[in-house]
This record gives sequence, C-alpha cells and structure tokens, in this order.
Amino acid sequence: MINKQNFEELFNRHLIKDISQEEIKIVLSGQYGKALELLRDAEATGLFPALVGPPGVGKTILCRYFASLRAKEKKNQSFYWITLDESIKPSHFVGSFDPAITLKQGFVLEAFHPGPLLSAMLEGGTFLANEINRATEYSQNTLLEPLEEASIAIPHLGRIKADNDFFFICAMNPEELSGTHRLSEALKDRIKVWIKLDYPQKATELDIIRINLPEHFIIEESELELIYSIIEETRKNKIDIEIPASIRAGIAMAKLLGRQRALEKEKNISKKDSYFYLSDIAKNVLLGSLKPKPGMKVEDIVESIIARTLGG
Amino acid sequence: MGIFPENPCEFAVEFIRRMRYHPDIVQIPSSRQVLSIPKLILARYYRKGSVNPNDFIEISTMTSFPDNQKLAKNLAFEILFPNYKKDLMPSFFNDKEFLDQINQEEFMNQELKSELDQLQDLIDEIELTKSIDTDLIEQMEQFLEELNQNRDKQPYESALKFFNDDSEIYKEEITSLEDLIEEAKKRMMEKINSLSPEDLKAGAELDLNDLIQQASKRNWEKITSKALNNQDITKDINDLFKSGNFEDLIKSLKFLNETDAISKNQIQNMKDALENQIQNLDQLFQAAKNLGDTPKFDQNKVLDNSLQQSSFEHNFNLANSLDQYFGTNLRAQLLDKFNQQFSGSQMNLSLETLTKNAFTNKSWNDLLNQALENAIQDALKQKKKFEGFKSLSHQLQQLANSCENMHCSQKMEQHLPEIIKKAIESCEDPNELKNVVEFLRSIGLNPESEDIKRVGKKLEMPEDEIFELIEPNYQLLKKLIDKNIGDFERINNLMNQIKDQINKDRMKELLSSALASENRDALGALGHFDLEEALKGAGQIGGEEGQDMLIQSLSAGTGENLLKQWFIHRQNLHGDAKQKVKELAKKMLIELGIYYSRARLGSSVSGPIPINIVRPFTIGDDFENVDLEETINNILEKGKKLDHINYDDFFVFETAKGLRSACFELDISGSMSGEKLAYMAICVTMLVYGMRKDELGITFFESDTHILKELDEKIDLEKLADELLTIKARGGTMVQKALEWARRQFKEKSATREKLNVLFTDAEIFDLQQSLNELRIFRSMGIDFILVVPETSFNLKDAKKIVKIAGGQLLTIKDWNEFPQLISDIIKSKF
Repeated sequence: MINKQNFEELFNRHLIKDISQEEIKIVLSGQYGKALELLRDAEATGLFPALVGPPGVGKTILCRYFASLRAKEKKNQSFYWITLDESIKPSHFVGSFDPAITLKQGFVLEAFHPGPLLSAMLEGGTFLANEINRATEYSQNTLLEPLEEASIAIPHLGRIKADNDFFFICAMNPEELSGTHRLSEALKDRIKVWIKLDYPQKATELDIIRINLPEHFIIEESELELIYSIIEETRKNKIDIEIPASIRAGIAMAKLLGRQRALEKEKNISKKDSYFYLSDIAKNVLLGSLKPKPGMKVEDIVESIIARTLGG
Repeated sequence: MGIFPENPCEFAVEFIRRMRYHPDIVQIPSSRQVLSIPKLILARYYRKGSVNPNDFIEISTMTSFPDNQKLAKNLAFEILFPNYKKDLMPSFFNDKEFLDQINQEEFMNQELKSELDQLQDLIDEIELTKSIDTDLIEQMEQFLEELNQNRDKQPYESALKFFNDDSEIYKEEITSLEDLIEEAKKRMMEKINSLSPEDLKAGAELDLNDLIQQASKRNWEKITSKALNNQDITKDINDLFKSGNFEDLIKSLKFLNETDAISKNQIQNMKDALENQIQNLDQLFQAAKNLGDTPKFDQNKVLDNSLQQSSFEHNFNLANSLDQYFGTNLRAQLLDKFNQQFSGSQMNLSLETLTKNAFTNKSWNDLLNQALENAIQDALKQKKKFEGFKSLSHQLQQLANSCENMHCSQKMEQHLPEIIKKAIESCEDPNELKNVVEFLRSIGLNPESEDIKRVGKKLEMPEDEIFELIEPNYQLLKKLIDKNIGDFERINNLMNQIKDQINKDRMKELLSSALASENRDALGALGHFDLEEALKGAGQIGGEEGQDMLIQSLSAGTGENLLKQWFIHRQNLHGDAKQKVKELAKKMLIELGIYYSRARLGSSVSGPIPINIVRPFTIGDDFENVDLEETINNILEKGKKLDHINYDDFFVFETAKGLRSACFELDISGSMSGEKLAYMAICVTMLVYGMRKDELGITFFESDTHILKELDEKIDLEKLADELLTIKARGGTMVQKALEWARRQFKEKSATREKLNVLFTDAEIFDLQQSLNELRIFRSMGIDFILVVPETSFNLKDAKKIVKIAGGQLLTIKDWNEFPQLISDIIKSKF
C-alpha cells in the first residue's frame, strides 16, 4: 500500500487543477461541430441544453471540451460534473453539513461543504449532470430550480443566485433505449435545447478512432476500414440488436490490433493477415459491446456479423 | 427580411402553432419554445455575423423535444420554403383550412408576448442598421431552373452528388454554380479518408484531385485520384505489389475498376498479377468480395496455407461463401486436401464439424466414416457401453436431421442401422436391452426384430418379453394394461406410437381393463391421450366411481398436457366430472405457475430508493446516508457531550429496493384456443405468483376487456386459476379500452418509476386509429412498451405503427411453449 507522504505528493502532481490545460482529444467535424455551435449559442442566450445520444457517442467528451474552451475564454477553470444514478442524493451535488462542526456550532456556513453544483453556481462555472435521467425523482426535483431560475435554496442557510456565467449541461441516453429511465416532465420542460447526437458519419468516426490510437500502435487504413465495416454491421441490424457497438468498440478493436502489430515489430515476427487477428478481436470486443433484443443470443449475432464481414 | 431569411419571431410563432396542432406530434411543445428560437437565432447572428435557412431549421429542431425533432425539421422547412415541390392547388385549400383553424387558438400568455416583442425590437434594429437589398428566394429559384436544365451536364452532375436533394440547395442559400461547387468541395473534404468511387469521380470532374491527393491518408484514394487526373500510376501500383499490403492493393484495384480510371486491359493485368499475392482463403475471399469475382490464384498454395493457418471450419466457411457467391469449387478441393493430409491422424474432424460443413463429395464421406469409427471406439471404451451407443444413435439422428445437405444427411442416416445394431448388441442384461429398445423407439428409431431376438435369446430373456420389445401394437398395449403394468411413461409412449390404431371402441376396451384392475397409471395415460373419450368411457363403464378413478389418475402426466386437454375438450365435458377435472387442472396450473416463476422470473428489485426510515449507524454504512437532524436530536436527547459521541449515536437513512410495475394486455380473440390458451394461462399464473410483491395488472381483451387483476390488487391464486380455466376465445380484437385501462392503472395506482406495458396480440386490430392516442400517452408517461406477436401470423404494418407511436419494441414468438420464457426474458431485461 502506498505510504501517506508519497500519496500526497503523487496526488498533487496528478491533480487536474485547470481544465483549460487538459489535453482533450476530440474531432469537431460533422455533428460534433454543429453541437459545439449549438452549445455556444445556448451559452450566449442563457438557455441550458441537454445532449442526448446512445452510449459512447461522445457526449461527455464534448462537454469537457466545451468547458475547457469556456475556461480559456473566461479564465475561469471551474468545471464540475457528476454522473447521476439511484444512489446519488441532492446532498451529493448541492452539498452537506459536517456533522461534527454542526454539533459544535449549529447549522452555520462554516459547517457547510458545498457540492459541485453549488460550487459551479457560485464560481460561474460549468456543471455537467451526466446520465440525468438516472437520477431519482428527489434529485431531479432538486435540479428544477437551478435549471429554471439559476438559483438554489440551501437548507438553514438561504437561497443563492448563480453567477451570470453559470452554465448547466445535461447529458443522457435516449429514452427508447431499454433500461433507461425517463426524465420527469417538469425537468424536460426546463431544458430548452436538445442536442441529439447519434453514431457519427463514417469519416468522423474513422477520425475519432485514429486520434484515440496511441502513437506507437500503427494500423493500416485498410484495417481501419475493416474494423469500421464490422461496427457498421451491428448498427444496420435493428431486428436482433437493441444497442449496437459504440465508437468505443471501434477504438478498442483498433487498439488491440495495433498492439498485435506493435508486438510483431518488437519480436521481429512476419506480419500476419489482419483477418487472423480481427476475427478473435471482433468476437471478444463485440460480445460485451452489443445488447441483443430479448430472446436473441449475442454469440449468434456476433458470429453472423463476423461471417458477413470477415468471411470466417 | 434581408439579414434574416424570415422574421425570427414570426417564424417561431408560426412554427410552434403548427407543431402543437400537427396530427403526428408526439409531445406537445412548450409555449416557451417560442422565445428560445429567436433568442438562439440572434445569438447565432451575433456570433457568425449572418444566419441562413439552415440555421433556422437547425435551431427549431434542437429546441424541440427529441421525439418531435423529425417533425420539427420538416415543418421548419415547409414554413421557410412553402412552394418547394408542392402541388399548389390542393395544398392551397388544405393548408388554408388548417392554418385558419390553428390561427384561432391562442397559446401565448401576456408575459411571453411581451418578451417576444422585446426580441422583435432587437431584430428590427439589426434590420435597420444593416439593410441588404436582395431577393434571395428569387435568385435561388432562378438558379434551380438553371440547374434543372443542366442536371445531366458537368460540372452540375458531379456537384449534385454531394447533396441529398434539392432542399439542401435552398437550406444553404445557393444561388450560383460557383456557390454550388464551393459547397460540394466543402462536403467532399469532410468525407476525405472515407470517399467512395463515385465521390472520387465527382471530385475529379470538379477538379479537386490535387486536394484529394494532399489530404487523403488512403493509398487507394490517392492512386485513383491520380489515375483520374491522367497521371501515371505505374510506380504506385508496383510499389503496392511490392509492399505486401494486400488490402490496400485490393481496395486500389476495386476503386480503379469502379471509377474506370484505367483501361480494362490494365485492370485485367493487375488482377492477373494478384495470383502471386493471394496466400490463403481469407485473402481470396476479400479479393473476391471487393472485386466482384475471383481473380486467378494458386489453388494448392492457397489451400495448403489455409489449412495450416486456420481451423477447418473457418476455411470451410470461406470456401462456402466463395462457392456460393463466386462459383468456385473450393469446398470439394478443401475436403479432398484435408482428407489427403489428415486422414487417420489426430486431426480428424468430429461428427458435429462434418455436419456443419457438409458437402456432397467422396472425401466428406471418407471423413464421415472416419469420424463415425472414432465415435464407435469411444462408445466401446465406456463403462456402460449401451449408454454410449444410445447417445451416439441419438446424436447421429439429430445431426442427420439438422444437416442442410440432403445427400450428406442421407449418408448419415445410412449409418444409423449399423449404430442401432451396435447399441442392441452392447446390452449386457435384459434391463439394458429394454432400456435401449424403448429409448430408440421413443426417439423414432426402430431396431431390427432379428437383432432384438438374437440378443434377447443370448441374454436368456423369456419369449413374451422379447416379443413385447419386437412389436409394439394394440395387442401389446392391451396386454400391458391387462397385466396391470403400472408404468405411466411406458403406456403413454406406447399409445403415442400407435395412436392411429386406437379408436373409440379400443379406448373403451382399454378403459374397461384399466378400471377393472384399478390400474391408475393406465387410466392416467388414457386420460392424457383423449380426455373427452376417456371420461365418457369411464362413466359408461364404471359410473361415477369409474370417472373419479380416472380423474384422480390424471396427475400422473405433465401439467402442460393436462391443461391443453382441458382447453381442447372442456366444452364437451359435463357435470361433476367436468368440475373435478377443472379442480385438478387448477391445481396443475398453480403448480406450473409457481414452478415457472421460480425457474425463470428472478427477484423483485429495481434499485435502491431512500425511504423515511432511520436507524443507528453501523460500521460499513455509507457516511453520506447520515441523517444529520435525527443524529443531533438523538445526541441532545441522550445528553451526551461531544467527547463521548460514538458512531452508533449517528442515525442513517434506510434504503429500500424499488418495486416493478407492469401491465399486460393479452389478446384472447377468436383465433386463440387450445394450446395457446394453455400457455397463456401458465404465463399469467407465473406472473401473478412471481410478481406478487410488485405492481402487476393483467387484462384479457377481445371485443370486450376482461380485467383479471388490477395493479394494486392482491389476488388469490386459486381464484385466478379458476377464472383462467373458464376464459373463452371469442370476438374480434378491440384494444383501445384495454390500453385505456392500463394507462389509468399506471396513472392512478402506480407508485414506481419503472413501468412496463406488454401488449400481446396478432395485431389484426379493429380499432387501431382510436388506440393511437392512448399509445402516445404511454410514451409521454415514460412507460416502456413491448408488443408481442405470433411470428407466423400478424399484421406487420400495424405492428410497426404501434411500436413507433408508443416508442417501444416489437418481439415475435414462434412456439407457444416459449411464451412463458419470452415474458420472463422481457421482465428480466427491462427491470
């Protein structure tokens, strides 16, 4: 186990203090460029947006990039985000009282630890509520006031008004995906801009895979083309597949193939056909990347996709 | 309007009005959207310095709820370009009527109007300070006319390849050929590194080759672009051949071919040169797939390499694809090679592999013989040889049945008598022999009488026992029952084997014998064979006592079968006997429901929800669950000082698991009977038992709705089973009332967030239009919706419409016995 001193040193070294300094690999062509424009427009008008799209299309990374732009322009590094689910309570994002101090001094400001939402509101920063439709009704209700009025009531302390630069972004999966909760009507009404992101155009997706490959993992364009054709097959099959492979699956397959190529180079082995590796790589990645419809077996679907694209 | 294609405020008002009253609207838009649209348009204007129709359309779309966005895009375009592709006369009258109607409705309050006025002032100011004298629409229409006259000429044709349709020309405000080419160039650049052959051809016509060659990372794009630019690509092609990058080579060849960038001769030369490059079947497959036919290849080398590098199955699949789509004969060659190289070695293929890779050819036959021989040797090595051979016979039979190649299937079947014989001969005592014979017969295989006789004699079995094994027939069945043999399975199997030999008179004869000897197994088998005849006969022969004995014996068989018999014959059963059978069926139904529920349904949880219960903190509890107020109150009450506070003085919130909430509407219209009703009844019982702690509502419907259980109702299983056994299939299919009932259930009685609705029907619905509104409401209430239909008979068009409006899923069911499994899969996947 790491010792305390080392931990503190390493922690401070690796702490992300300034989002504007963080390197964010993003492709801004196609729908992402348009989405960024819309975020800008929404920001200018004070209308809070929601990014809606299936898992893995880049909602979070777009938000982080947008926040980093804001941080650079406004010299305000404040960016907070939280991923919501049934276990998250309002105190997680609004803040809570330290029991020990409260016992000694009562419900005073000193006893209060602000949460990420409150911090963003006070600092005029960006707040991202990820998977907002997984939040409990209690949490969703707490978010109504910040979304509508840009203010929030803190029990025992009072109501605060957010800084003018405060910006609230929501991110969620589309409601028709099974297992996705529904947003309350009240919350829906307060979101003014709905930016839909879908699986991108081929050129954009290929660019995304390229920039996510480590430099020393080199794969041919033709291999990238094969990987994309496998991913595309999962998206065409709407009869058996409920959730197809996301961009992450393509990145994973490219990285695994890149790794094999790097090993070949390292060990001075002659280059094997891509199909030799891709068949297994595709199977291993797709088994976890797809969600079949009820009654369908993921193994059968994956097998048929590999047969259609790689022939084996 | 000059700066703006339309007045943003007027546009927004018109847009929202049309959306609110459109018949296809899924969610009524908020009136506040009327402010969001002009605000965002203004923001965009200030940021970019201009706005075009595309901006209007994009902003109207993005400010609409996700479910409405497709409609929003179309409506926005219609407002901006009202004359685009319209049949003006009819639309004039229809639109006017529609607009007159919606214009009467007022959806904005005073506050909204006031804010809108303020935005209008801003817009007016912008228009005043920067006036542009232009009639953009007229210019666009003029250009469109020019375009229509030159559509098939270059460069118009090539530029248009980058547009989906003419509406995009309007959206981008294109008024000249220069604008068109500029926009086409921009779109092509966005596609670089994923260009198709058509894109490259179009790019060449638009003189964009230099750009493509500079920007593209793909060899095939660069080479094709060079060739289209009439540059010499000989060196590039030679380099590709030398590089060993097979995929790039194939892709280049494909693109050069499809763009006609080089001559047919040159293409053919390249294809011929591929022969040295193709090393295995994977490469051959990719080459064929990309080029549309198989190039020349060294068959021996390819097959040898393939067998060394990959599994037989993988290679056979590739060969199969190549043979089917490209007319090669590789499967035969592959089998021959494999047989040659690996026959008799450890590398032999199993029966399963051969079945999956079946092919009419001598090598396949040889390999089959080898595989069978290996399997026989394995069976002989087993401790209980007869079990080994039983298993082998069954396996061979199943493989023969599942084999898609008829010839191979026959070949396998030809070996069955030999295996059956070995199975008989491997028996070492009379019980084993009986076991084997009965097993073989139960799977539809008939051993030779001579073999049974011979082995039976060898095992010193009595003659009559041998005879029983040899020839099952009515006489044999009668003898079994006369002898009071109490073996339900045996009698039941025998009856099913000779069902054509059993008529009403014979049924009576058998019943008479069974009743006389009080053979309950026989009576049970007779009842499961034909309940109606059995009860009638038992009544005639043994009176009420006889019937009672028969009814009591019915529990010997499977519950599913008894339920089927009940639903098939219940109309013809009468009096006390009917009642008694019903009681038994009820008991079976409940037992089956409980069994299926335990086996299939899983537990009732859907995530933790904080509830208003607190308890003392224990080590391991989440600190975030501490209820501060309760804790402080507790400490004050105990009068403790700060130094004396322990962890158990803190109070934490308890969390509870959430409930599931589901409604089922099940179609029992005229087409549903017998087996279907039996499985539906089992499924309902399974749900009521398995989801007894959840919110569950069930209704049947045909032309009326028959509510079985409300969402918050506790129901007795006995009462439910009783009701289920008396449902009758009747009437047409009217679903609106059933959906309305379900909607009310969720709205008025449901306390959970996760809601699921399952509608089962063949989708031949009489009142579909009236039901659509209910489905819209389901969607707006956030209810997960599933439509289940029988695979072989349902109305696809209506089914798709239903799931589209409800935002749900369509599932099909093949066999009725899968119904409980499918429903439990749905429950497990949704919760």
